[in-house]
Amino acid sequence: MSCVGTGMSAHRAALANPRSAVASRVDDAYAFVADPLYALAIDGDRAHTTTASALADLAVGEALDDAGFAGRTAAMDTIEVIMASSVADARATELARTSGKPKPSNDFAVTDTVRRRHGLRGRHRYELSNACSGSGYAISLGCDLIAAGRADVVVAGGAESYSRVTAAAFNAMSALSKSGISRPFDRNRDGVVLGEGAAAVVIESAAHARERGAVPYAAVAGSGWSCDAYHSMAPEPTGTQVVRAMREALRRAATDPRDIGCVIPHGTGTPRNDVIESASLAAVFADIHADVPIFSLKAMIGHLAGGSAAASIVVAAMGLRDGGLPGNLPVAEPDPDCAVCVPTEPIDLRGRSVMVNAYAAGGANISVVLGAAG
Amino acid sequence: MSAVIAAKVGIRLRTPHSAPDWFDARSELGRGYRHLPDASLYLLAAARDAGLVIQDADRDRWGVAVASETGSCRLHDEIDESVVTGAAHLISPTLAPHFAHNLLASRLAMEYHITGMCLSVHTPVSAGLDALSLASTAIEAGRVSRVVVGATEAPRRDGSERPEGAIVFTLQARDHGDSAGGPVIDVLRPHPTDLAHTLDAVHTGGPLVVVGADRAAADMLTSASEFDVRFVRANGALSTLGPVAQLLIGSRPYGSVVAVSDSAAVVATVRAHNDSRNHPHSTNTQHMEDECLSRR
Repeated sequence: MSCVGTGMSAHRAALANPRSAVASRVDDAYAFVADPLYALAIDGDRAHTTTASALADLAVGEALDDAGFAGRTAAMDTIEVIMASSVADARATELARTSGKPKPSNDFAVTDTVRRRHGLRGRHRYELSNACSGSGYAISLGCDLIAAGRADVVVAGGAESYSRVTAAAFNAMSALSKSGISRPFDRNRDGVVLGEGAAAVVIESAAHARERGAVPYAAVAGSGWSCDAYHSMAPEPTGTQVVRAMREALRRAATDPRDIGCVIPHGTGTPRNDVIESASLAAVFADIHADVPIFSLKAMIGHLAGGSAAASIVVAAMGLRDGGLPGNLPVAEPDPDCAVCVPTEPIDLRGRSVMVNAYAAGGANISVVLGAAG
Repeated sequence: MSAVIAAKVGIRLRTPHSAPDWFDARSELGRGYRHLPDASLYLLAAARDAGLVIQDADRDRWGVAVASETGSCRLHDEIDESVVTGAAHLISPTLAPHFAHNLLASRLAMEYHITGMCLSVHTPVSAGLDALSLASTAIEAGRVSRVVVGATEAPRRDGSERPEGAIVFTLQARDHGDSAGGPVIDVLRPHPTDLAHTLDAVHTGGPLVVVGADRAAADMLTSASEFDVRFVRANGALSTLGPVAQLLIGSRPYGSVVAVSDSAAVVATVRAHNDSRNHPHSTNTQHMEDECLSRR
């Protein structure tokens, strides 16, 4: 779920008719900051009061239903949960602070909420942050547990809700888009459009999926991790570790760069991220980089922070099952310093793989390669 | 979970005997650390205590995995108080990025130029053992060769009492070239109903520390076994990683730490390698002993 709607169908339709993600001023009476801008996923009575746990609950519910686990109580005993969020349920604490009600005992309630709401009783339960790459790590770790034979089925993803603390910190860092329009790779991009939302996937071994007759969306072929170890906010300017993560993902996936049919980039719309990521893609894809299509998801749904990597992976999986992704929203004025191919025509993914990139403040990088389900 | 070896341990903990000014960042770390949350400072000081040395050529093969439940929450409290009282303009742009909980781990990675991986783990009750477990998984998956595992906590502004400080130690694969001799750690995830049976099989003696929101699991194990069961009420990531570190540096390198929460259990067992020449070293052992004794 994101600012464009709830559910796979809503997103498939919205991406087919793309519009810019736009942040609006949040009607939080206590948000005395210059620009309390967010692209909210929930409006009406619950606007800006929804927690990451509540958003994650909805995404996980749809993932379990879609994977055929709805009503299969016995199967829930072996489903593991790994969820990520930058600030988890900080919003619940903020609401308690201004209402005078008791504060929650722990902000990190996303994983346990999902477990309780859906009766998931697997032996692995992890809650990560890892900021804007967190849900990529959640999914990658789930794959590692399955590959090691320690888990059969993992539900993994991430969520982020509006938070006054997050809005204030981004204001203090001057990292938010003043225009409120998400414009990755555009010469006039002016920062991040924070978005509420959540995304989750059900992961299992190919053998386990076959055994229960499941029809997979895609295969997670491999992932690469790295850490900038450079700065608390700024990405490392040479992109050395970003490149290493992409190459490691390709190596682990045993995939040649020429087999990548699309990259869903981190592409936040900050001046520095987009230049460094573009240069890093050029380093990895070398002579073919100008022809590798980019699917600029954050232009349409904003930056879901803890949920963003999972959202990209869900869209990649959807594209691989559908055989392609729709065309991008046009980049009004392409930045000459961002030499990437952002096609407005549909992207053909038949017989191809997709790379997803996600990066985080503090430099936790991850790249994931997905291929067609075998 | 595959066994790994703890090679170095570093500790900075406030104990019941600590003076109010028990931690002085300037004298511990020197200049250049003003705009960091306390939990980050504790973690860096514990890493100094561990004496980490990482060669340039190895940086891509090292990782960081840090557990915390409230480490960044005091900064959340301070930022939000500034916002709701109309003082948001006073929020330091240098301190602001640390609202993101993962900056605790990232700042540690920055300090030692660790570029292999950086994980931040916050699962209620079991975060400390989860950091240990995920670090082992990453080593086993070949993503890194060694991991600096840590836990750090600082109190919120609501006045609630919490263990405060940080613990750091390093993990590496048992078959790593220079690892022979240190204590061996195994992490298991039995179903809670199999907990007593699992401990029968893996607990090799020494204390059995049970960490949970209540005494139920500890009482069950006390009645079902002959183990030396000790209960620690869950109160942040130090609740689990503290006893592990105590086992690593203590005179008896045997024991188990169990975290029980939300219908799940994690067991970490510590046992001596046949050759203990590379026993972990900490310069701050007495603080650890005091801390663990005070919370029994």
